[in-house]
Amino acid sequence: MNMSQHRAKRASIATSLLALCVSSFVTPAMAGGPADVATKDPEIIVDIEAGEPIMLAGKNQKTYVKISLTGFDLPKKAKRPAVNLALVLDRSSSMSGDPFEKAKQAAIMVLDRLGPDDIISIITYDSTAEVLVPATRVTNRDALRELITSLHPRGSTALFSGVSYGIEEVSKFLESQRVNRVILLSDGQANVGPSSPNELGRLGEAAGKQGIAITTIGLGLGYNEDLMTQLAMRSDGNHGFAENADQLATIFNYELGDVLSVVAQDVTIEIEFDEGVRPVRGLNRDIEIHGRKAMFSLNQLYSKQEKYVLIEVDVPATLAGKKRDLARVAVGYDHMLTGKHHKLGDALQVSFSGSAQDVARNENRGVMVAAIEATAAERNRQAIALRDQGKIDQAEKVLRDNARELERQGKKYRSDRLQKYSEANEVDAENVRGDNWNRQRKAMRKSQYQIQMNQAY
Amino acid sequence: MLHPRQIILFLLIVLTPLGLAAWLGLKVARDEQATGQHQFQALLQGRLRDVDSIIARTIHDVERHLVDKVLSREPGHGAAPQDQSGMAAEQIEFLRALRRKEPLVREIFMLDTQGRLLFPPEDASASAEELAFRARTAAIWRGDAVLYGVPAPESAALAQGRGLPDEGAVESPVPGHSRIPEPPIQGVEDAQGANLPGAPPDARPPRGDSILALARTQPHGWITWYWEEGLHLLFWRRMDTGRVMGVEIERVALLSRIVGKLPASGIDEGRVVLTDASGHALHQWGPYEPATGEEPLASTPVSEPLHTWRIQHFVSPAQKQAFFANTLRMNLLVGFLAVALSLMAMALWFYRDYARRMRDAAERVSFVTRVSHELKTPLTNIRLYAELIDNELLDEDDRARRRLSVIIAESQRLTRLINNILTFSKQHRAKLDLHKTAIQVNEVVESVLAQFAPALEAKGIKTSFTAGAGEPVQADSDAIGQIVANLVSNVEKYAASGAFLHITTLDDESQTVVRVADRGPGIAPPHQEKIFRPFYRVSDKLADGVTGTGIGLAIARELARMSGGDLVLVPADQGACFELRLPRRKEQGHEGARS
Repeated sequence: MNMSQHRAKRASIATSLLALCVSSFVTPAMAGGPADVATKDPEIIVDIEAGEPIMLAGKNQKTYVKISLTGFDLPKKAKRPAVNLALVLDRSSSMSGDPFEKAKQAAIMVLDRLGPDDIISIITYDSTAEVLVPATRVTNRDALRELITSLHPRGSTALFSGVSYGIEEVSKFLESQRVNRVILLSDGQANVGPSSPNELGRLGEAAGKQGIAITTIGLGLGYNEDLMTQLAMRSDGNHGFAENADQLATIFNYELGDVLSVVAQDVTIEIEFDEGVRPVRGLNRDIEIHGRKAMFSLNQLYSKQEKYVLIEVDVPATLAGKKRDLARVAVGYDHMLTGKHHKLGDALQVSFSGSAQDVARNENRGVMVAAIEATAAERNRQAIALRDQGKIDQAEKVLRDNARELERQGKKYRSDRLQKYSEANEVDAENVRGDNWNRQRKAMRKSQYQIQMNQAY
Repeated sequence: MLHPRQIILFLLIVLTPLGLAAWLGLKVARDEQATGQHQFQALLQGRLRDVDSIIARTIHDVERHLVDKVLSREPGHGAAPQDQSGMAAEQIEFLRALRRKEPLVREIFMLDTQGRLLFPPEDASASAEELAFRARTAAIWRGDAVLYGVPAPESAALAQGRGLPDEGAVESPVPGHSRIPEPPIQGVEDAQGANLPGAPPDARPPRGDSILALARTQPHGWITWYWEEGLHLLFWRRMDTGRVMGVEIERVALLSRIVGKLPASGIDEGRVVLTDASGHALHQWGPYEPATGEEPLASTPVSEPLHTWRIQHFVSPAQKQAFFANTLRMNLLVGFLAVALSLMAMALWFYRDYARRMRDAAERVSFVTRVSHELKTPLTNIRLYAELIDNELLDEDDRARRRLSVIIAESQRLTRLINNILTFSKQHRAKLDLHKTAIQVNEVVESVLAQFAPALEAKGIKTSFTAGAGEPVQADSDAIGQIVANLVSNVEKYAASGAFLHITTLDDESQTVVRVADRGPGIAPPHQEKIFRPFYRVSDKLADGVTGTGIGLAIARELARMSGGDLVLVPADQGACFELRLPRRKEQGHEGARS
């Protein structure tokens, strides 16, 4: 992806919007120079792009619009935002032995990377949940480490209670200037309390509304990946799959890397489309659509990470040579360095041409690749649904077709990403039958999640 | 040495009070257990009420938050031009922003003054979620749902001390919730309200109330109904304009918040479980793991609007034991053991004492018997030589003869005494042998009278004998002699004052009777049967100047009975009259085989 190209494309409206909004939020002392503020503080990057900046004229058609947000680089000397973290650890008896030891090591590693301004709470659960460490500042590291070391696995799994306690502990120090997060590690199914993926997804949504993201890490091959991905997705957390306990350290490291690099929170994105243009659906994320308005929100943005949504749009027939202001995007977010609410905007204009060659030549490769990938992930999801219904042959066919299509598109757009995903779909197809399906299903959910949510790891 | 009868007696003495004590103890223990159970249950119920009050407080906080923050004001009323649904775009945006921000709010709704749903809209501007909300709540807006007096959470219920309901209030059906049953098929909203499971079609409730009707009486309230995943909750508030604004609560978020407020631990050994209407555990704490199917010891419904949920308390056997196996049962057991031990000790002590007395008595009897036996031979010699001297004495030596007759009489008396003692001890050792031969009772009586003549004469007792019997009887002449001698000896000892002795023998049809009558003081009725008991004496006073061992009559009756007859006291006008009755046998010869 070419960043400078994106920047060049940004419409001038963004700057004026920004200046306007920032000025209304700055403190009286700074009121004299809104322009200074705008240049001094790094901003997140908002982009809105069309798959086809030049569209074919005279025809109703479908296209993809990509709205992406990228976190700014944290300045070296800047103090990183404080973290308010709840670790929810599954200590059911299935965790016995190596997995639990590794989980404890991972928890201690998390502890070691936090500073005295950060807040941590540790919740463990088996058939009941227990707040082992209530939300507390990470000042007495040794005592906390000792508590973690003394844990032993037992009992069955009250995942809902565990997560609820995690949310409750984080809520105690809920502040927009902290990175509020629950990290859930589970190796099993939830069997006490609400335990359907839908219900846990709703819990995730409620947590997300409070600004609490829930990262779920599945360990081994016994956990419920649907539940874990729903919980993470609806709260805008991350999802990790550690097939064996050795991978936990790496995953926790990545997760901590994300948590410690949050640059923006409570990010709301509103897109208003041109008269006659109709947003149909979000291709990779669920978005809220009201007529020609669409909106979605992100819990946070990480430094130098791009998050985007692809929207499928119906565009009415337009005469050649005409231009259309296809959509305007307005973004609001809490800036983690200034502690203020910032607003940004961007607009997308497309032109129409009678020449199909013209259209093809000007295709935005980045948007097309992302759209193809998201569509392929959706088909990958359908394959799981078919396999769950016992339609193994159909599932395999969907995956093989998916792989072939990805390979074709990969060649067309010279994209390694698509090639790799094509191979992955091939592997998925190989494992639709047989003992390996359980493992494969988890890997598929994980990569779907990664593609949909643009997760870094 | 001990008779079985005595062993049984001892056992009874020990076991009867023991049994009684055991029964009483058990009864007390059972009563105590019943009260204990009651107390325990009350304790658990109290704990559950505490839990419920935490839930009620959380609900109350939610209500406050909803009333004060979420539903505090109607969005920009009359601000902008209204679209066809009667809501300005800004108002709609305001409501949607509320929903996006509030974790507890799943959807938000607005009713106009006619009770029509203003928001969420039905047209193209509605999101998929908003349309789904309209579908699942359709029956409520159509007015098909029967709503009762929805409680005003703050005004009425809080004033009554919400969260600490008394037991009666909890058990009574809680009004104030819609009675929309779980629809049989999801998505078929027409089935809602119309198909009440369990209610016949013709018993369909009247067309239900509307929230608007409720809003005329209360400022705000809850509505509960079931759909798909279970309990759904609506909370509404009447606005100043007469419109009603409300929210659909995000059930899992509410549960999560409640769970966060509930204790994670803090109960010893037990388990508290919060369950939904179908009995599934929503949240639980406490270390005890109840077995599947185990019934909770205490259970209470959650207060409204979550009244279909229950809180259950399970208790581990160890905890139950700790409560019930208190000191009382231990005390009872110790007491019972103490009683048993002391009773057995007492019984043992009595037994030993009794056995010792028996042994002493037996030794004394044996000693007397041995002494009597030793005395018998020299006494026989004394009597023999005295009689020899009597025969050889010259007639004129009167003085010597008189003195000699005293010696003979006294030695005879002594012989009878010794015979009595020996007979008694033999009889007690079942060693008495009778040698029956055909005898003439008259001869026996005459011989006895001859023996006693000097003594009777000395006391001035006038003696007469009417010998009316003639038939011989089968009997031991020594035994009969001993009987008659005992009777005559008694007259001499106790009835000398009457100075009269008359002995009659006679035969009636089957027996020969020897009757001994005197005119002494007689025997008072209380003593009449007792005088035949061994060692029984009418008067124990030595001062009466009367001697005697007290075994004479007992031996006499025993001998009479062993001879096949009897010795009885018969009524007499004056003095005492004894009758010895001896049966006669027609055929003789079977008996009398002598050894």
